[in-house]
Amino acid sequence: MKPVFNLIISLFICQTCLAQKFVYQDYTWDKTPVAYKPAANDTNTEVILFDKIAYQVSVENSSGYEYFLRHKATYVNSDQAVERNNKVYLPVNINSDFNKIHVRVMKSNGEIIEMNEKDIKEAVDEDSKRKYKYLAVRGLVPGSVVELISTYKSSSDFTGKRFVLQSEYPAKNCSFELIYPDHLVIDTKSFNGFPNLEKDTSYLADGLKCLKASASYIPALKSEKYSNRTEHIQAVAYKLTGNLNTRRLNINSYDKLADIFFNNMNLAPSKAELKSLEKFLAASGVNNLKNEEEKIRKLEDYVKKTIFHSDQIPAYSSTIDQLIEQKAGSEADITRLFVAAFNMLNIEHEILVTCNRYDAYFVKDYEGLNYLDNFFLYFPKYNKYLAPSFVLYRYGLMPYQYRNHYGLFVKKTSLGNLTTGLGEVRFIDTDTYLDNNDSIYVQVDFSKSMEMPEYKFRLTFAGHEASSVQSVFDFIKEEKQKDELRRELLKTFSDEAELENLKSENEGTAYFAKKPLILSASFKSGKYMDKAGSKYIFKIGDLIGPQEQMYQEEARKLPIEMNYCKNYFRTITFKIPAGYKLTNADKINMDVFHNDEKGNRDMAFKSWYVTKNDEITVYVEEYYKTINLPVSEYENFKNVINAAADFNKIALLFEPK
Amino acid sequence: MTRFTCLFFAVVFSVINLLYAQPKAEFELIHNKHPEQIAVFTDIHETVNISVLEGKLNIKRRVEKNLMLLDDRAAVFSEGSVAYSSLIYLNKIEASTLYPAEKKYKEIKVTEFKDKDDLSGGIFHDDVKVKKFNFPSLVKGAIRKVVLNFEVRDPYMLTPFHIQEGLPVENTELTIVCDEGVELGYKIFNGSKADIAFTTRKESGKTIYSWKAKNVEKYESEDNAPDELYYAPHIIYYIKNYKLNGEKKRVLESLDDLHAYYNKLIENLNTDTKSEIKTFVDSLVKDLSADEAKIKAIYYWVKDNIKYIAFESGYEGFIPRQSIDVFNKRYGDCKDMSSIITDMLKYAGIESYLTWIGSREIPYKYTENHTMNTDNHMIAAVKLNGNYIFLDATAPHTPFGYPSSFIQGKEAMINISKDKYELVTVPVVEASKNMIKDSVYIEMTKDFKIIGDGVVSYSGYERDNILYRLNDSSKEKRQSILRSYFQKGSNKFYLDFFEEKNITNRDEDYVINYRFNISDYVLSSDNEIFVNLNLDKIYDKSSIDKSRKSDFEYSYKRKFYNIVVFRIPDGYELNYLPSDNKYSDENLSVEFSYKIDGNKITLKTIIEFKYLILEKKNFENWNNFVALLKKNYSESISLKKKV
Repeated sequence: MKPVFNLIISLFICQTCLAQKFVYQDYTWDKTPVAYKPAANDTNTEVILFDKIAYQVSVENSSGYEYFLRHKATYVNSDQAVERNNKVYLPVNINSDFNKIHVRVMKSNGEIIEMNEKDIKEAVDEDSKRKYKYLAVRGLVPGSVVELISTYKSSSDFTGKRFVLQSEYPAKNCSFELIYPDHLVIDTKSFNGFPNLEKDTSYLADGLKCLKASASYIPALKSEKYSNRTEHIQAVAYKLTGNLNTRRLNINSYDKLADIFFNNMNLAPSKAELKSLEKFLAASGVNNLKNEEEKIRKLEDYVKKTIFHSDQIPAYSSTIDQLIEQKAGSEADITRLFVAAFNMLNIEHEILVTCNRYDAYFVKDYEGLNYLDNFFLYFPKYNKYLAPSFVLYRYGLMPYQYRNHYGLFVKKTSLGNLTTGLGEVRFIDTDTYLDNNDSIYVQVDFSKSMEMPEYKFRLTFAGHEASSVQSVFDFIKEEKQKDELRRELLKTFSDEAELENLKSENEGTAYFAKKPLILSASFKSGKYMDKAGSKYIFKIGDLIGPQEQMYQEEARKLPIEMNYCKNYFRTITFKIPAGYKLTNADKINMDVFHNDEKGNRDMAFKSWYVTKNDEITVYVEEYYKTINLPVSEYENFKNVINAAADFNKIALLFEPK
Repeated sequence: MTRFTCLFFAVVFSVINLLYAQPKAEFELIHNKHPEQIAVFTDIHETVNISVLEGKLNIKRRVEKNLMLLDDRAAVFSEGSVAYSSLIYLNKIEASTLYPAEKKYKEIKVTEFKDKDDLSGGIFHDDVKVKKFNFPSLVKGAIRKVVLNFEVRDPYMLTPFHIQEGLPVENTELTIVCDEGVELGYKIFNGSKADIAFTTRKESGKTIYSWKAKNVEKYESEDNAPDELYYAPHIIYYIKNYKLNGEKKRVLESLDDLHAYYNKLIENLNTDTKSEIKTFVDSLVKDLSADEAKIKAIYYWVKDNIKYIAFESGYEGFIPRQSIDVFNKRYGDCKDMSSIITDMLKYAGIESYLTWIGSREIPYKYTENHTMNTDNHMIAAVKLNGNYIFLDATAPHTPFGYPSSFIQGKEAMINISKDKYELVTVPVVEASKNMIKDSVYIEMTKDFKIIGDGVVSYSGYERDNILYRLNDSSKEKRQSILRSYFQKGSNKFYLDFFEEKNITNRDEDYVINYRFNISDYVLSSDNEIFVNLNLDKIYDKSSIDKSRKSDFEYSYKRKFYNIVVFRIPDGYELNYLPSDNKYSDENLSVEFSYKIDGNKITLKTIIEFKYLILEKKNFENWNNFVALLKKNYSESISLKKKV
């Protein structure tokens, strides 16, 4: 069960229909396994020769079930491919005779090895209610084909599934079937080029319907730098939407779910809950505040610093007073506490349910339940978000993994006395490039030593650039550890030099998404100076820290997607050392950019310098105003990314006058 | 590695009359003492009862641990879990929160415990289960209490008692109560790190041993440090013997007993003649006459064909499988690989031996600790030209003659026969046998780009490492991995071409011939160019922090041998050449030397690490060595245009 759902999602199932037999109950493999001889120039170490997947939805004794069949044959041709394929796991969530694994291996010499019952082990996790059957495949060697049939029966809430058909290895002859009683209405969607499921009438028994799609070849899809593989992977999704027998339609629709979420979160608090909540709010310190946003921040900080979010605790398992008393709860219960508190404080908010876009990319035209993973709160008046289960995040900054795709927003709506939740699928925009900043200000002093100059560094981190560290300071108690963390952040620049005047500003959750984290220190280091006789080479480019580069990449397949928009700003100031001249300052000037369709810069790297007497100030500006570009723009994108890495190579030459 | 290690469960604790203590006063006392700690163990008490019941040893372990929470976010300690197995069985578990009420603690019991089969880690199948639960109502000042009752079902499998924990401990105690006639042995390791008070007394015919310590600091682990067992105080205890009907029964009086116990576990191993394996071995070695060639052929066949999959349920974790099963299944764990190697060698007419050994995480020698805590691994040993060669098929790429790196320097117990064993120290492989040797020839183009040809070879464990990383990657992927492996000059290093040799031939170094170019590396002014010939600045960021407490451990000794030959471009002449430099001590050595030969300048850099453990006393030398590296790495040559 996902952290956002509870049993309130009912099955809407007709109680009178008869159990259907699993159409693949007696499915078995051909007597002779498929042999495979790769072409001489084929360098694939693993090829899926066929992959047949079938789900059958069934109603038995008014409970929902799902039968599953997978029949897959994989050619393995390396030690690592053997290691990837010599262990088989089958999740089984109920006991059933249908839970079966059959595995056989055909070696290149035609020898066949079949696994038996004795090979199968079982494991149980009472907490997640998961159970596995698993086995190790005997006799598998490179050049073999391993063939697997697995079937299982599981209970189903008919909320549907998303099944990924594409992997890191090429696949031939893939098919996906969905079989269900013909009084049910099922909604399906195929993604990224996998064919749409269509009605197949070839073999069906009475009262059953089948939807099917096949692909003769699905290429391998690997993840790439700056991309979102999930968004582009071939997959199929389905869910129950109606029952003709009961004439109920729009089952599992977002309209219905929005209302359920709303009601779950807005359950009228009991007396005990109200009392406990009032006390909790008083203790949090919100009652003394006037400003609404300050109230939100104060309450959030108090909740996240006193109540522990635990994945081990089931959703909707405690009342508000119990949660406050127990100090630990599920995401759903913590969200409910927030909602009740904001209701009590009269702060307008919407409930947002979405998922990590790198796990399942939320699209607008399919109301999949697989997108509904995590709760957030949205404050329309301020256009800001709060992430209840992310302990290091604070109001104003939502984890970027959950933005840049869609989400289900649920807001309160009243009709007369009736208050319900109204759902709307809206895009969750990324923050702007100005929100996420990383800046470096350096002053270099050569006056005391050319070999070991003194560097004064000031680093600032804002938005997502600070999100992994700014809050952490509040959760570390030992001063020694805090100091280590500060040093770690400066280490990229200071290398192993002794830091002096180490200072830090705006540490902790109170500043998160409000003010940048600032660190400053000075140190003496030879790291940025090379020597050749009487001349010095000042590796000024290295002062901005090592930059991401994409100089030599494999052929690109996926469009570009970055985590978030951002900007970097750096200044480096130094005086030309007395007795030396600088002849190659012009190397500093760089200007590389990408234009959007309107001809405006949306990504850029620019560096330049200003001279005043003997003092030189170098400016570097880099920004990404957008995070998505088509694959056709890949070369231009790479140029901007590489420009920063090219800046790293800039070295200035100080020659004696 | 077997799951022996799984048996060292987190050790546990206990408090007396805590329920009637004054919570507020108690909290303040502890908090004032540890103002920066988030939690402190107030009491840990382990009681082991060893009795003789119905003709058998009966061993019960009661572990009580009380953890006081000192931070507002006390609830981060909500999740509790305890691991156990069929051999060290958890009979009973109690957990509760002692909630700090006004006058006394209110005990809130945990009511729900859930079992989970542990599928994590490198073991494919075992019987380790995890009991999971949640402590309710954890607040600042609350005490998290656990009481565990284990039944130790094999008297050889007593777990060590750890004095030190990851959090400070106020009071800790181990009590062992032995029936009359049970003789106990014990040994304290790293005892000087804590003030341990030991007492022994007799009570109603029983002997009671007790070890107590107070105010124990928390154990702080550091990166690349030897295992905590090397530093943290702990007690190893074992049953020497017991009396049954007046007759003395030996358990672990001496190492002979451990050997005898292990022998029982292997007494039925590979006793039949298996024609299938015999036929196979005959064909494998039929053209080979020298013993070494035969051993190698068999050893490499096992490495190539038996994949590591470990089944370790109960005694499966200790008893090797029959070689014919391993042969047919094509998988096994360390014991199974040792079983098939020794059996195949037998058919080749070569005597070899099953061998028990502890990996380097375990500090003990058999002679100082003759319990099962000393080993966690099994290999095979064979005598060749008077010396033992250790065969560990769990490391797939290592050449014949190399032990796996994690058993170097460890004492092995070689099973010669039912009544005979030998203790032999596994050799440590010399640095020069784990070498990366890289030679490049570079030139500068007219537009100041560096182009070059190189050949690099990896031997020993270095060969292992890189091939493990490359595994079955595609050509394109290999290019990108190799590019990161031998990037030179800067990250603008383009690998234009590469060709690999000896990927599968373990007896030869893994060799790559390659061609590359580096843009923006040469610095030029009007009539001069500067080139830093230190294309590989290895170990330039490896200074050791002064505050480090533990020694520094590395997996193996190693050597780097780099040669860069630079052709002076036509029209230029040498203007400046950096000076040579070298340093050497018993752990490290480095040498930078420049040579001019006609229009070629050669920089030779040799760096050797001759330690497995760099002791703290040598850190200063190490840091001086890093400083020397940095200084030399910052030197460029300069070339002037000829006039």
